[in-house]
Amino acid sequence: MFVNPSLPAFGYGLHRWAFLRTQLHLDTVTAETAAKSLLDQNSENPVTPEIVQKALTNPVHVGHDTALGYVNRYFGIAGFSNVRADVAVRQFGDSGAPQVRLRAYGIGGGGVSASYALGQFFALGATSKYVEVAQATENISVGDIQNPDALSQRVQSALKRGNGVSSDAGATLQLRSRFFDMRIAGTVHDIGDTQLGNDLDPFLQTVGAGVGFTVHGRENSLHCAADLRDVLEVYGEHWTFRSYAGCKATYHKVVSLGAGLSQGYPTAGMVLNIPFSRLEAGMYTREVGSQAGIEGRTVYFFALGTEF
Amino acid sequence: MRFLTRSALALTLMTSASVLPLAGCGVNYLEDQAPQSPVEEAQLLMEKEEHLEARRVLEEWLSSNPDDAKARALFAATFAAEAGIAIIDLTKKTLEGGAQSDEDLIKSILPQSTDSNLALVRRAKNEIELIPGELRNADIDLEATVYTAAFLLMFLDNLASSNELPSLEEAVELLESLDEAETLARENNIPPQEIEKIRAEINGSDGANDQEKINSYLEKVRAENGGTLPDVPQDTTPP
Repeated sequence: MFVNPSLPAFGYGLHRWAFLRTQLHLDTVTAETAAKSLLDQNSENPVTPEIVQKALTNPVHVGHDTALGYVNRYFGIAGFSNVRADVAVRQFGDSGAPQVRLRAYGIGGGGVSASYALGQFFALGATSKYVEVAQATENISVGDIQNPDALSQRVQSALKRGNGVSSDAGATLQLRSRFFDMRIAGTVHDIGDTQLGNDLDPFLQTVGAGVGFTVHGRENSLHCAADLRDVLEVYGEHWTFRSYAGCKATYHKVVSLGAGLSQGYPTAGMVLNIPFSRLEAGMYTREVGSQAGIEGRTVYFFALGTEF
Repeated sequence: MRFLTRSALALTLMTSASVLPLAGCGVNYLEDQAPQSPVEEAQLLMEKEEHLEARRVLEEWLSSNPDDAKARALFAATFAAEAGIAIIDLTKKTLEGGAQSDEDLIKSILPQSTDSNLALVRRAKNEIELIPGELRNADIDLEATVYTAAFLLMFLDNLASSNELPSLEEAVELLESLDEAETLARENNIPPQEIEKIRAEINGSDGANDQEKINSYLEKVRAENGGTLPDVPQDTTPP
């Protein structure tokens, strides 16, 4: 619905999904440390000196996503929230002096979508959503670290908030046969730019393109896809930074295993579909540098959802 | 079709089994296609303590971008780090508390004042000095203050432990370092108590010229402290 609003138009029947989903993202060290703390039944204080030392020497990346909605062949409505925080202490920052790199954002809102199929081969869709955004991007220097009041002020002044209405559109061309399907899709996100007010930069209009194929029987399938975001490079990012590809094999509509490349980094995951529930787990690596391959942050994710 | 989908599942399982371990290793298969970002690369090399490789990358970058102040400051940090000076240690000591003054803090992070370490810190100081004032930020100012103060204290210790009359060049360099350290300390609101004390003791020492006064001062220090300045790490390696 939010990635490509034309997709729900394809398929049989009216109903597509009713869903409630929550997903947690943790970097490797945080996940291990949290698990260790949870398993340490004897510890009264889970924040041990070891944990503090790890936080000073290892970046911390946490995230949480929630989505709730209903989608059918013609219409969808959903609410969502996404929160991410990445904090890294650098011994040698931009100028060689210690620095704390803070990158955090939260986005939440709700939206509606409409989709329509023109025959079996072509579908169009559009989404409109209201978004509230909070964002903090700051490199905090050593002088601020040593002064708690200045540090607090820096963090607070780095936090920017805004809201706006965002519109997206999508179109998909589909070719189907008994055992093989192929799709080519194009999307436009943040049509006309999404203005957020205050000091936040707008979300610029971007065009995305993707291609995918599925080899399938009645219950098993192999789906592979690749997409390139911001085809027109409005954000000035190299294509390696904007490219994603992968394959997912589904067995008896119950278990799915997937692997792929996200910004050039390997990713992998699995999905378990049990009646009215869906479990997901996996790992991906997210680029936190300015170019693909500079600094990858490996993140584990776990998702639990109800879907029918 | 059953064979096709079984094969597809097997292929994906094998791929997942081979990819999962790689997913946590930071391997990027498009890295060679992506534009390079030398300064970022150098920063990450410094985090991994690969100071020499970081220096090589920055040297190449600065040869075509000599006015990049941040890169120049990071380049200076490679020399200081190789000598054993890391400003993060200052931050940790500040948070731990207990230091009586900012100068005490700087003394607490000094490495051994061997000739090689001294040459590295001298180079760090000189590289920072190449950055014009209008291009400096607070971090660069802090680095300049720390490297200059560290060089001064290590230089004094090195001279004191040599048991030789300092040369005219060394005397001139020492006095210039005193001036630089005092100026930077004042600019950064650090009371230069130790520096003023050293200057006063040198000026008050016997000698017809600066070179002789410095030597008299060093002899006094040697006599009082067994050959070294107080609070600077000693070489405890057995002969």
